[in-house]
Amino acid sequence: MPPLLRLENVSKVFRYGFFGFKFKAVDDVKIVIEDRPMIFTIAGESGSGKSTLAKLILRIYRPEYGKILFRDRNIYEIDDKEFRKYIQPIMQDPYASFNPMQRPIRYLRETLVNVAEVNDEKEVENLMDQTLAYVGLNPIEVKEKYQHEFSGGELQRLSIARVLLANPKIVIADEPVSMLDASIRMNIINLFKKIKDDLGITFIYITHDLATAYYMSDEIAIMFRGTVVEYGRSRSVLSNPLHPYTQALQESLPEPDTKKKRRWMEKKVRLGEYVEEEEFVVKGCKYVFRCPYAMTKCKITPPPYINMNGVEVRCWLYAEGDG
Amino acid sequence: MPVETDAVLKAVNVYGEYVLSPEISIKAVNDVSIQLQRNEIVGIAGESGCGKSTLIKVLYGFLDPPLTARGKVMLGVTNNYINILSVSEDYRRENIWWKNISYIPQNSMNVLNPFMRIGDHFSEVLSKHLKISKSEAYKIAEEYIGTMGLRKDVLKAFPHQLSGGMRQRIVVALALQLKPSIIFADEPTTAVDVILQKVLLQFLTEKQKELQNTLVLVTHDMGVHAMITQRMIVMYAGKIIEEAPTENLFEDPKHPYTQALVRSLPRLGDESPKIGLGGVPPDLKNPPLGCKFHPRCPYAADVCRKEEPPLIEYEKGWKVRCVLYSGR
Repeated sequence: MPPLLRLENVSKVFRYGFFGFKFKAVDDVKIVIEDRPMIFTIAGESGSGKSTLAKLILRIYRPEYGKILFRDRNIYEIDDKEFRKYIQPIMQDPYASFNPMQRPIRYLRETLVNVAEVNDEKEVENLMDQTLAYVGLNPIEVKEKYQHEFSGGELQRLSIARVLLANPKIVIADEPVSMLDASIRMNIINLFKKIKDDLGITFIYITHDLATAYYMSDEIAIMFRGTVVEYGRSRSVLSNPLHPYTQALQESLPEPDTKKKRRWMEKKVRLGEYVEEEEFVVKGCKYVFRCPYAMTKCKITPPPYINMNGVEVRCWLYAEGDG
Repeated sequence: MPVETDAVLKAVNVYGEYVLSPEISIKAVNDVSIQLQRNEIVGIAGESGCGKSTLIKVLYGFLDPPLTARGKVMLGVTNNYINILSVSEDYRRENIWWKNISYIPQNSMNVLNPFMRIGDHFSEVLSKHLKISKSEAYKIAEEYIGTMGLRKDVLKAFPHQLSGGMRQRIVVALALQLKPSIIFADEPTTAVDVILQKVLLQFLTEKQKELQNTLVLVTHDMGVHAMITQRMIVMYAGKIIEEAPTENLFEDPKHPYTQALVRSLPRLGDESPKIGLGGVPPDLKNPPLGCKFHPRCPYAADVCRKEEPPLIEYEKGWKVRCVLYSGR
């Protein structure tokens, strides 16, 4: 069986400034997502290129280099109508996802008619009622309300219902809970897990929150300045990180556990002298300016993807022979 | 009383209200009384809209319309107490802000003036408050920046030439330069990555230890509270619902809301299923009768729907606003 989604050396170049300063927002990303239901997390800080990567998969941006393959077909060779049936997004801001002038239910109905191509009116209503109930909303109430009458959590559930009506293979969720309150967040995340188990949908979940990523995801890719530095099973990446950047992330994460306070306070973070722009344009490893193990080689040659017991890591420390 | 002498700030029955029109007003802070002690780190936690940011604005005396405040905020200044809310804003500006209380606002990396060099930010504050010339102030700033562990040449830089983490440390250094007895920090580390966050939080706590003053940290991130604070205040719908030493609050939360909040937090290495809280926070324009939390509370009884429960002392230094603990 071909993998569900394969990214082959994907790069996206952005330009900014008067002189056309160029940098790669996504740089040589290679990811394979197998064809089985799972939650694949892309984690990284702001500016790491995780949202750009999501937009590349959604065909909002076109990559300058490399290919994105859905079941071994280039996504640019799939026509729009078919593509929408395979890959669907859930956006970050629930308040901006729906047109405030119309009832959100209209958007759901249109998705059913246009994407899922259900034309029988009775079936449309039936499917909507079922799906709304499944995501934990009351169908009768939803149909009467406008966008401003919903809370953020309810709107995000509506977005999820809309996605389910399209019945896609992959759902790309870009920070879907970051705008929600902590007490509500877990309910939405549990809903994702339930959908994955019940309906066999693969989620590409984009976040900067490592604790949530650990809780929900099966596999995780850690991004830094456009490159994937490490990816594999999330248990092993987050519990025993290999890349120095992932290690630094794991050590800095404040945890809601007062027993860990002393260790956290005692362990100081080393913040090297670096300029953000330089990190984008350096030829070799992007982390070289901050890395405590940096070697001369790191600055010149980008490290290859090295497989360490099923985890792909891009770091010269793990290279065979001359590591 | 020994407690009284140690209190550096006492707030008694403070209200903070956003008056939008004669009919509509939002009570973002509703009858809050707290005491801040010398040399402690206090965390204020709660969801967005619970009034935590408004509370520190009121305590700081920064009242921009439509925010209005009532009550008493007594600030300890050399064996005397001044009510921050009763003095004029000019008085606050000249005698209280920067000198006695400093405020680090949200997204602190973007509050520096882009047209001013970093050094001018420092010398402006110094020359105004110490009534000295700009060049003298600049010299003091140069010395000071060294003691903060920052390089002297940052004084010549413009804000855009520095990284986000550096700018945040500059803002913290600015807030601390007149050695205030209280620092309010409102979500100082949101919008930065976890590594920078740790650098900044360690910087803040180190300086707090040196100056032995009071740091009040407002954030929704419970992880930060667990790592930094000694005592916590949890707010819900404008009220304090629990006040406890941080360790107790995480180990054995008492209020049903705090319980749900703490239990829903994901942790690295923890695979047990987590359950969030149902319902939504109340609309403050039209808050529910009785306990503000009762529509979402699994233990809600008839009395909760009718009467607002008082803040009950559960143990020394541990207060809960819930009828479950009133029979004790």
